[in-house]
Parts: sequence; structure tokens; C-alpha cells
Amino acid sequence: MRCRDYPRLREQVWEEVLPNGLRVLVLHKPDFERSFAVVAVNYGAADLHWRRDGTDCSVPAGTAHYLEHKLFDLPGGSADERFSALGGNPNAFTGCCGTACYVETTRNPAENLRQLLEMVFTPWFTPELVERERGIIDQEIKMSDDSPDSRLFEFLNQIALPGHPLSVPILGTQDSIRRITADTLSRCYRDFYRPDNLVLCVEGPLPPEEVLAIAAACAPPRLEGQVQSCFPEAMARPPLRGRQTLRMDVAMPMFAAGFPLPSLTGDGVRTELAGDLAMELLTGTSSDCYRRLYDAGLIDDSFSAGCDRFRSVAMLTLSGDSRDPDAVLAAICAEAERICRAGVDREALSRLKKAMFGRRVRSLDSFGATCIRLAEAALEGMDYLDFPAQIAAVTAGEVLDLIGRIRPESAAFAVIAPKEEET
Amino acid sequence: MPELIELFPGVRLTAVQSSRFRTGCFRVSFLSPLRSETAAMNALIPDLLLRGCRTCPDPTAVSRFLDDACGASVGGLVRKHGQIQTAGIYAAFLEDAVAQEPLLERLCGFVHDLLFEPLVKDDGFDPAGFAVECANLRSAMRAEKNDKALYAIRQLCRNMFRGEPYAVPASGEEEDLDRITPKNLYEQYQALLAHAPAEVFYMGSETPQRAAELLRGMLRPLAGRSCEKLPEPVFRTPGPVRSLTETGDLTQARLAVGFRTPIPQTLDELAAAQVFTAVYGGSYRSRLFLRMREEASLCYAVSASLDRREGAMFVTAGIDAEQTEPALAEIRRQLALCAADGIGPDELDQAKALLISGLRGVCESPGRMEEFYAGVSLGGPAGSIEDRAAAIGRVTAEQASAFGAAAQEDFVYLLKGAEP
Repeated sequence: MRCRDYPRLREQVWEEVLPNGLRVLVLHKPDFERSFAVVAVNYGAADLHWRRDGTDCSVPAGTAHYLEHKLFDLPGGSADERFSALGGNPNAFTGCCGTACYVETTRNPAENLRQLLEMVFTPWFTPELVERERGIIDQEIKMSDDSPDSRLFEFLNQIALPGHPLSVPILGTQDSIRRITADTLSRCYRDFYRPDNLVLCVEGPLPPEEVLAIAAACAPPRLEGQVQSCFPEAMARPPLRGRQTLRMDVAMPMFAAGFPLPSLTGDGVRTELAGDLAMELLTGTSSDCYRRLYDAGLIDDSFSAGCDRFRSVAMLTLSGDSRDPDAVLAAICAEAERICRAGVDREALSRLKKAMFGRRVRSLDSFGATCIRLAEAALEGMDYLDFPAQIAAVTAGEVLDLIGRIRPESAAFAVIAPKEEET
Repeated sequence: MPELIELFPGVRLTAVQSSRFRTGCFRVSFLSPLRSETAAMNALIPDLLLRGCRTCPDPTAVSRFLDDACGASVGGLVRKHGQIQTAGIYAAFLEDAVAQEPLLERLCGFVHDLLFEPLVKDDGFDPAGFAVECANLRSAMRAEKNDKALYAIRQLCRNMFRGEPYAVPASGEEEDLDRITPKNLYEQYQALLAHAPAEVFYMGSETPQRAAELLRGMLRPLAGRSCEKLPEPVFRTPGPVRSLTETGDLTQARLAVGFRTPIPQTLDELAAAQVFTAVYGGSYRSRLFLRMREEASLCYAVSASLDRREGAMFVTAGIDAEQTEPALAEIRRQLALCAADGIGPDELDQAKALLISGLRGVCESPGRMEEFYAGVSLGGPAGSIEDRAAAIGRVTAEQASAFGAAAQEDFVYLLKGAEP
């Protein structure tokens, strides 16, 4: 296996691509008992359309998430039962552009890894089991519908990216999941859960060569057939203009604003870092703008800003609770205009880069999160641990260009207002 | 292994030396009885302290100091452990060897200034900062209803423990904020500094002795105090089961059931309580998860949790409102089955394996370690991670069942959508 060394981060990553296309990464931690293994799949809720050997394929909204639930079924029973016997704690999640299944344990790391791979590489979708899951997912959708936080970001994507598959709810809807069958799941599984569309990343005491041997023994051979994603690389239509309001039982208005960026062609991770720095400079807790808004009672600790990216589609975002979301948006847009006229405060940018470096290094101590970030970046052919160089390379010009995109006329602006509020 | 060091009378340090992380952290918490008169005050104090001090005279200066300290984090931490409230400040930072600068010392000096040289005007906290932070805490309290699961469990506690300290949320209630002024808040802070026992935690690469030296210097003004004694928890026998149904604007009903349980006095009793809770509803292989979700598709999420210091167990589930009776019947049926020696060898072993695995994972995460050692000075069964794991390993099905048999249902709370 090839070893990449990151002395400043105190990390080493072993990497190998198996003949079947499965990419294997290992963060070897011999002095830890804990082990975390994740299989990340380059297939998410927004992958609703694709071509297989020249044939168009489509599935209802919510299919990737449904499939993630049903991966835990095996011919002899539930994978949960076996993980439990091994002392493993498994789980999975589905995002817009990816799915991840993982297991965390302090016992039997090799057996838990084998079990994870067996689960991912053993499709078992029976009509009875698929039908039984429908009620559970139905309840999950209802739970999400009652959560203003979940609704806000779905709503923002609907406004910012109308017509794009990213605007479809990850869980699907109560209607769409009724059209998902065992056959739907089997087709998606066959086309996306291919070794060459997955990354396995393991962090913990298992030696890298042992991880590789287990992966080689458990993963199927390279699969035939050409699968081509039809994920639109850019927005289908321009964002809806002006404030769009949804009413829910919330204590105070909640807002999210998105400023879509042009379709990315280069390094997406670099754009994300530059976007995060730009938003930090504009509205981070050490900015004058943040303090004015906070002390005026217009924002509180719920406020956040950054850059969200889904493959080639990215946008700068602001969100939080406010009694007057319009005033917050107007003040931040005015501050962006001022910075564009005055230029970037280079001392502040340098300080924020130092802070971003420190926070990211500290976040590496979060065991599973690091493993997942590494795997997700690897799916896109990127190296997550390259962030120190990437942060250092962000220029004042890039940051200024991004801040220049914070204009009221380009904002997709989603507000969840209390039901009794009439404004 | 953690080392316990008394920095001053009533100020106890738990220090864990580890060089495995790039993060170091420390926490200082003041402990006081959970009371409606002081809970919101104690929760508001860290927010005021974090607004500035002599060396960083406003919140922007505080944020810029932290940026420059390689993105160190300093925040307020408010918790409740049974009938005790803890409020204080937490700091996390890059280890000096990684940052290549002495951040621990810098942070100790900074937190000293935040704690002992806050922004004060006319014998009270700075009124402008007070108004902002009070409004923010009020907003955060009102936002509780945005999260229906959290709201349901808080409403259960308010009603089940009405008239008892545990009814008070960790940050108090909104109406308590109306009685707070900059002056009486500052007086309450002075009272905490004068009499409240303090718990200090450190995790990082320094030896416990070096960490104690630095933290003793940071907390020097707490030397020579006499601290108040904290109340002991009392088990209360419930009467007939009470219930409350409320309506709101929601599509999924939230069911929350509260049980009174014995308060574990020894490590073995605590282990039996934890094993029972895990078998009953504490994991993805629990009775409630398997019967209510996997077999009956009644819910997506169902879980049981334990507050060992209060002697309470809670079950929560998101369900269709018309399924309330079947869900409640299953919650009761599984409790009765588990309690009547109905825990099988496989589920006992699986629950123990998951709990032990979780415990071993504690010392491999700075955040989990901080949480694990929170409340160690409150009394009750304590012990190292190894001691706790060994006690869990010893639990028999009969001991776990006995804990369940002693659990008494007290309150059923249901939050559901309004009838069309």
C-alpha cells in the first residue's frame, strides 16, 4: 500500500485501489482500541436519473435513502443482529450526493469490518421486507416534516435550485416512497453499489495490510456495464427571486439565504475553503458586521455562514433565527458591498486562516467524522488532509470575488415564519 | 487513568494525561442546587462572562483573541445532573506541540480574566451586554418548541416532577428571566464564587501536576473559601399514573413516558440499571426498537434513557396519534416482560457488549471524556472506566430484571396535532 505522511497533522494514510476498483484508505492508529470503518458510496438522493449502457433510468424521490435502510437486511436475518453479537455499533446516512454505511467498535475490529463489507456487498431486497420498511420511513418523513431545521434547508434548495434534483427531499415524500419497490432498489444497487463507485476508509488499530486483505476477500469482482450519472452540473433554472415564506409552528422566524456560485470546474474542496473564509471574514464572530447584528438583537448564537457544495454545484449560505430576517440580509449585503469597495483586510484574513487551520486540526480528533470526510473527499478524487496547503493558498482576490457574490439580487431567501405572524 | 487533585477546598480537579490527541481541553463548573430562583441566573452568567474582560474589553476582541490562538474555542456549559445544576466555561485548543506556541498557558490566563475580571458597571454586569444576552437566552428558551422531541421530554419533566427541583430545565424557565437584573445577576455570580463547589477537568499532554499548577494559578481567587453542601437526591414513590395530552401544529405525535426508578448507590447497582435500560430501549437491538420499529413499523425512533442521579427513566417515541394506545401498550408490555426475568442470554450479552464498547470508546475522544467525568464530585457510584466496564460485565439477567421490576410508571405525556 502507498503511505502518505502528514507530519504537521500527525497523520499517516495508507491507500490502495483493488483490481475491482474499490479504493481502500487506512488511518492506522495502533494505540487506539476504537475502530471505525465506513463504506462511502458515490450515490445520493439527487441521483434520480442515469444512463446504463445507453438506456435511461429514473427512480422516485427517496430511493437512495430507502436503499440505505434495506442494506441492513441479509438472507439469514438482520445485519444488526450480527453486529450486535460482535460488539459493533453500525449506522448509515444518506445525503444529496452520497450514502455512507459505517460501524464503530472497540471489540473485534476485523470481524466488524468483514460484517460491514458483507452487508454492503450482499443485496437482499424481498417485497415483504421492503413493504415493512415503508411504515418506518413514513414516520421518518413525518418527523422531518415537523422539524423546522430540516424543512428550512429543503426549502432553501427548492428556491435556490429550482428544477434541479438537489431540490428534492432526501427522504422523498409519502407519495414518492409508495412507488419504490424491491425491483427499484435492486436496479439502483446494481448500478451504484459497484466496487469502483465506493471508498472504504478504516481508522483504528487494524494494520493497513490486514484491512486490504479483508477488503480484497469480501468485495466482489469488477462489474460489467457502463453507468453514467445524469446529475446536472449546473442549476437548471435561476433561483426564485425575493423572500419565499413557509409557515410553521416556530418561536421566531428562521431564515436561510443562498448565493449560488458558477458551476465548479476545478477543485471543489478549495472553493469550499475559500467560501468558508469569505463568509467568516464577512460575518464571522470576530467581524464588525456580526457584532453589530448581534448587539442589535437581530441575530443570536444560531447564526452561521459558510459554503455548501454538492459536487459541481455550490453556494454561499447564511442562516439563523431572527425577528427581522430582511434586515439581516440587507445589512450583510451592504457589508459585502463595503468590503468590495474597501478591499480585504489582509491582517484579518491571515488571522482567520490561522483559526481555520487550528479548528480543522482539532476536528481530526473526532474519530468517525474524520474517517467519513476522508472517504467522501476520496470519492471525488480529492485529499481531505491537504487542507493546510489549501488554506494557505487561498488569496485575498479569491475571497473578494466570493464576497462580491453576496448581493441582494442574487439571493435565494427562505424564511420559516411563525404561523401567527402576518408579515 | 484520571488523577484527582484538590486545587483548593471545594475545588476538585480531574486530570487525564494523554498525548494521543491534537486537542487539549479544560473546564471549570460551579455546582449548585437546581432551583427555579437561580437556574436561569446561573445559565446566563457564562454568557455574560464570555462578553469580555479587562484584557479583551468587548466580544469582538474575545473572538479575535481566540482566532489568533489557532482557533481555540471557549464557551459556556450548563447542565443538570439530577437535582444539581452545573454552569461554567469550557476551553478547547490545539496542543502546544502542534500549535508550536504555548496555548495552554495563554488560555489559562485568558479564562482567569473572563472569570475574575468581567465587564462590570455600577456593581452589576454591563447593562448593554446583559440586555443582549438575556434576550438571546429568552429566544433560545422559546425555540425549545421548534424541536418537538425535546419539547415533549421537557414537558414530561415539568409535569411529572411538578413541585420538585427536577422539574426545572437546566437553563431555567423564561418567566424567571423577568426577575433578573444586571445587579442581582452579578450578586448571584459573587455568591457562586464565594460558596459554590467547583469541578475542574483537564485532558491533554501535560502531567496532572503541571496541569494542576496552571489551573491553580488560574483559579487562585477561589482559594480559602467555605463551600455549601449540596443536597442528596431522594427517591419518591409515585401515586397513580398521571397523564397529559397537548395539541400543537405537528404531523407526528410525540409520546413520552416517565418512570420512577431506584437511585443506584453502588457501581453494581448502576451497572444493572444501565444494562436494563439498554435491553429495554437503549440500543438498536433493544426490545422497544425491535418490537415497535422493526416488527410493528409503529415508529422511526424509540428509545429509553436513564437519569441515574434522579432515579428516573424516560421512554420517547414519534408515532401516529391513532397508534398511541398500541404504542403505550407495547412500552408497558416490554417493561413487564423484561422485569419478569424475561431477559434472554443473547440480549443480555449484546447489551453488555455495547455498553462496554461505548465505555472503552470514552477515553479515545476528548469530548466524551469531558462528559464522562462531569459530575464526578456529586457523590453516588463512581469509578474508573475499567471499574465501570467490569461492573457491567458482572450483571446477571436477574439483577437487570430486578431494576426493571422496581421501575414505576408515573406520567404519560402526549403531544399531537390538533384535530382537523
